[in-house]
Amino acid sequence: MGTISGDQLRGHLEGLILASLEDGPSHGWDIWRNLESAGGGALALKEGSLYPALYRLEREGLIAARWETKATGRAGPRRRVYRLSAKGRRRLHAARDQWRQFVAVVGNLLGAPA
Amino acid sequence: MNELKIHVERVVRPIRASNRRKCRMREELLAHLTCMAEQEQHRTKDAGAAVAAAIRRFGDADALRDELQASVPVVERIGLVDLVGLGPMRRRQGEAPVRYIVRSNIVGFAFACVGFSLFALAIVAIFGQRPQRLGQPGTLHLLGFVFATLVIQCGTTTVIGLLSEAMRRALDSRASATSPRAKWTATVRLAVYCLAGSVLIAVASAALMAAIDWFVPIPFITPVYFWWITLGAAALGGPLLFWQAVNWRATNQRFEDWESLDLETTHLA
Repeated sequence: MGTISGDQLRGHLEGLILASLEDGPSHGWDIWRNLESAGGGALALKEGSLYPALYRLEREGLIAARWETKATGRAGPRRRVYRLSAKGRRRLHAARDQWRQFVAVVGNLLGAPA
Repeated sequence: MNELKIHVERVVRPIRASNRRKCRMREELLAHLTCMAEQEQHRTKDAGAAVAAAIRRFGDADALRDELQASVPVVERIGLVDLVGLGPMRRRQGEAPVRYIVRSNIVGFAFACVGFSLFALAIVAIFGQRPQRLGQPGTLHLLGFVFATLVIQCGTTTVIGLLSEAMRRALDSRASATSPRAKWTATVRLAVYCLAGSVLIAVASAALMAAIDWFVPIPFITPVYFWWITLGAAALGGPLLFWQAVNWRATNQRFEDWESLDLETTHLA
């Protein structure tokens, strides 16, 4: 399977992060690992670019964040735990609908219906 | 770990954002890079190669910096543009907190005086020095009022800054105290600074009300309200100052830790 570059993912990363948070709160590292495993190694995205996307989503009120407080047994810097807000959940549903429509229309045009 | 911190600092230091936001970025990016380096080390069994691989996977520093800068709200970005002349107001690398507090307040006061004097000269040149209508305050009266409030404001912020720093040191002493006596002494120092903060804020609030009353007598500042407001300021002043000192301590610790990293002379392995 080929890789999907960062340029191809532009505009979709926010939706992918929202989808990753749908199952419950998570910090940056775990969000990345979820994306990586769900993408089967096909997502060729630089890991640092996750954080600007998280900050944009937080600024728009689609996710909320707080510092990790419970003892996790790990040493090192603190991590922030992100969770999906109600607005973020609505945006995720809208993004899914848009994606289905996009795939149906473009798939038909390309002669490869979904 | 230090190499990872230096990489993070190279990304974050030039970003125009508040110190609070930058500290958050630093901690989060470092946490992620640390996890990556641990994962790479588990794979390669070579610490140096693991750090290099983690940095490579993390992405180009310049591109990441641009993306992070774009994620900062526009108001904050504009507010922190390095305007000509504002450089002296920023904290220099390695500058002691007391020196920074005094210097930045003196520079701020000087800037405000120069700006205000130019404004005053323009007003006097346009309107003259006499009241425009009977009963209205004259221009020199207005200038005196604004200068008085500037002095009160700058004096208060300087002393509040110094008291916050003194409280921060007392909090440090209390946290590191090894004997009950040392802990008690630090607690007494904190209480004295809180009391001093209450007195200072009450005096500043009274002086400000007196200056307003001198400029334009305001009906609601009766002697009864004057004392209630002064007492309220005294009651709130100490706790507010304590809260500020706790925040200042947390920010200062993180800030000094990162800002002391020398990005020019240290090279990655």
